[in-house]
Amino acid sequence: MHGVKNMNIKKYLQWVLPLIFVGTALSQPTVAVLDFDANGIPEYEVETLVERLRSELPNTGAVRLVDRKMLENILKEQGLQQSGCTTDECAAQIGELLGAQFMISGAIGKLGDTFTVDAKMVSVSTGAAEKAKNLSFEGTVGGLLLEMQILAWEIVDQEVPKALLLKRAGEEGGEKVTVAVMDFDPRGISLLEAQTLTDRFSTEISSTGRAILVARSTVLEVMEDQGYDTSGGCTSEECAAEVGALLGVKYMINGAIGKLGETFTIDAKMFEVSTGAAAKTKNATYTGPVDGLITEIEILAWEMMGVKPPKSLTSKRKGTIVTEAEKPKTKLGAALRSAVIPGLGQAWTTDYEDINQKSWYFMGGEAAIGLLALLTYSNLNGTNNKAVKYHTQYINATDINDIRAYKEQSEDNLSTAEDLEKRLELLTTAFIAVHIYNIVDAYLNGPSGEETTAVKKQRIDLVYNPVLNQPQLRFSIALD
Amino acid sequence: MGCDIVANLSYENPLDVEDTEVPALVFSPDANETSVGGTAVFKVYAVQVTGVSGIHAQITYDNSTLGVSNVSPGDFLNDGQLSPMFFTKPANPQTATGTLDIYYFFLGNEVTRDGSGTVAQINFTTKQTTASQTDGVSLIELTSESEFVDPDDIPILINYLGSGTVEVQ
Repeated sequence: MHGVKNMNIKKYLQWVLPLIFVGTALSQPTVAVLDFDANGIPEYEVETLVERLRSELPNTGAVRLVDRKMLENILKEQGLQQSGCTTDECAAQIGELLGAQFMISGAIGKLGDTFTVDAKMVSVSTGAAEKAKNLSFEGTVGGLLLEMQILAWEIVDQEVPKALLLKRAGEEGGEKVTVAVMDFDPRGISLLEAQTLTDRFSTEISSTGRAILVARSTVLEVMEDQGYDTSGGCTSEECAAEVGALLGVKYMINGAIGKLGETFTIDAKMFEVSTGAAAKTKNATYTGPVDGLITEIEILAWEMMGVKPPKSLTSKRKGTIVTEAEKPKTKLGAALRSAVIPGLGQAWTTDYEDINQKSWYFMGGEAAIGLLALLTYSNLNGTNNKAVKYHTQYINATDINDIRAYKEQSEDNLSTAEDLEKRLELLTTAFIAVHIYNIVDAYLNGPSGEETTAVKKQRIDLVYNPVLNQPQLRFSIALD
Repeated sequence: MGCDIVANLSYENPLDVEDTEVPALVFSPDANETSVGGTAVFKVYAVQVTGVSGIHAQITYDNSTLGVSNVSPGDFLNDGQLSPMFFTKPANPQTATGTLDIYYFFLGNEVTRDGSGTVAQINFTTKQTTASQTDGVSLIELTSESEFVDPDDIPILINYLGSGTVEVQ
C-alpha cells in the first residue's frame, strides 16, 4: 500500500514538479529514532547524544527522518513513554503508527571508562532488525558526539564522510593534526615538476608522524566538486581554506616553488582552516643540482611540522641552502636591526610599509655625522702626514731659513691636525650617542609578541562552521 | 683614536736656535750612533754670526772611549776665491779628557763672513771601552774657549755652544 502511494506521488511529481532531487528525496525510506536506553549515564546525556544521531541522519541523504514532535505525539496518544518501548515489536508498532518504514532504537551504557553504544534499525513492515551496530569508546562523553554522527552514516549503510573520519583520527591521534597539501604554485618550473615536488613534500609530512594527511586524490575530488581547476586553479588562501573546510582538516598547506636563474626558492605556508591565521611559514633558497631540491623540500616538510629532520635526510643535502623561518617580531630584533643599520629596526617594526620620519632621521643623521667624521678623519690624516713630512725636512735641513720654514709648516700642520682630532672626537661621540639613542628607540617602540599576533590575525576570516557544515565569512573584533 | 693619528714630533735640529741664542757654535747632528770601531761624523756649525774673520773651536771628549781620526775644513770661510787658514791642534792621548782645537781664519785682510755655515767636519772613532760603559754614550762638547773674532781680532760674543753624543750599539 505504501509502495502504491509512493508511485502515485512520483507520477504526480513527474507531471507537476519535474525536479529530480525532490523525487529522489521522497523516494527515500522514512526513519524514526527512539530515545536510546541509558545504562550508567544520565538520561539527558543520552538524549543529547541521540539528538546528534537524529540531526546527522538527514545529512546522509539516504533516509527521511520523522519529526521528533510527531514521534512524541504518537507516543503520548498511545500512552507510551519512549523509555517504555524497548522491544523490537513495540518499535515496529510505533513505526507503523508514524508511517515510518524503519525505526532506530538502542542503548548507551558506560562500563568503567568505556562507553558502549548499541543501535539497531528495525523494519516496521517485518519487525525484524535490518541493521545493528555497536561501538565502544574510551574518552569523555563529549567525544561520543562524533561517534554518534559516524553511527548515523553507518546504520543507514552509507559511506562515512572523510571529514568525520579525519576528525576522529585527529582526536585519536593526540598531537597529530589533520592536514591537506595543495599543489605548490610553479614559478619558473613546470606544473608537473611542481606536482612531483609537492607529492614528495606530502609524503614527508606524513613521515613526520605529526600529521594525518588527506590524500591528494581526495583534495582534487573536492576541488573538482567545487568547480576549481585542479591544475593550479586554486592558489589563493581563500580557495585553500574553502577546500580545507570541505575536507574537514585543521590545517592547509600551500606554497610556491620558483626558479631564478640557478637558484630555486620554496615558500610554504601552513594556515588554520577555521581562522585563516598563518600557523607557520617556511621558506628555503637553494642553489645546486635539481635532485638536491627534492631533499630540500623533504627537509622543509619536517621543519613545517616542527620536527627536526632526520640525519639521514640532512646528510643528503647538496648545494647552497638558505633557509629562513618567519619568527615573531621582538623588541630585541628591532634593536639589533637598528644596531646594524640606523632606523632599520623602526622600519622593520612596521613591516617597511610605514617607514616613519624617525627612521629617516636616524639613517640620515648618522649618515651625515658619519660622513663628516670620515671627511674629518681623511683631512686629519692628510694634515698629519704633511706635518711629518715637513718635520723630516726640518730635521735634515742645515740652512737656517729652511729650518725655520719647515719647522713653521710642520707646526702649522700639527696644530691643524690637533684641531681636526678634537673635531673627530666630537663627531665620534655624537655618532655613538645618536646610534645608542636609535637602538634604545627601536627597542622601546619595537614590536611586542602580542602586537605581532594581533597584526597577523585577520579581522575578516573564512571559517568552517561545523554545525551548519559550511564555510562562512566571520568578522571579529578583539575586545582585549 | 686621535692620539694615534696625530704624530708626536719633537723639533730638535741642533741648528735650529732661537734668535736670542745666536750667534752660536754647534754640532750637527748632535747625536750619532755607531758600532765599536766605527766612525761618528760630526760637523761644527757657526750659526748666525756677523762680521767674523776667524774661528777657534775647542772640543773636549772622553779620550778613553773616542779618538779623532780625521778633521777637515768646512765651507763657511772658504768661498773658493780666498784661502783661509785651517789647522788643528791634536789632542794629548795621555790625558783622560781629549781636547781638539780647530783654528779657521783669514790672514791680514779685511775679509769677513756673515750668516751660518760649516766650520769643520770631525770623524770620531769609537774604542772598545765605549761599549763597556754603563750607558754606552760618550759626550763631546764645545768649550767656552771657543770664539769668533772680527778682523781686528776682537772676540764676537757667542750666545750658545752646542754639545753632542756618540752612542755605541
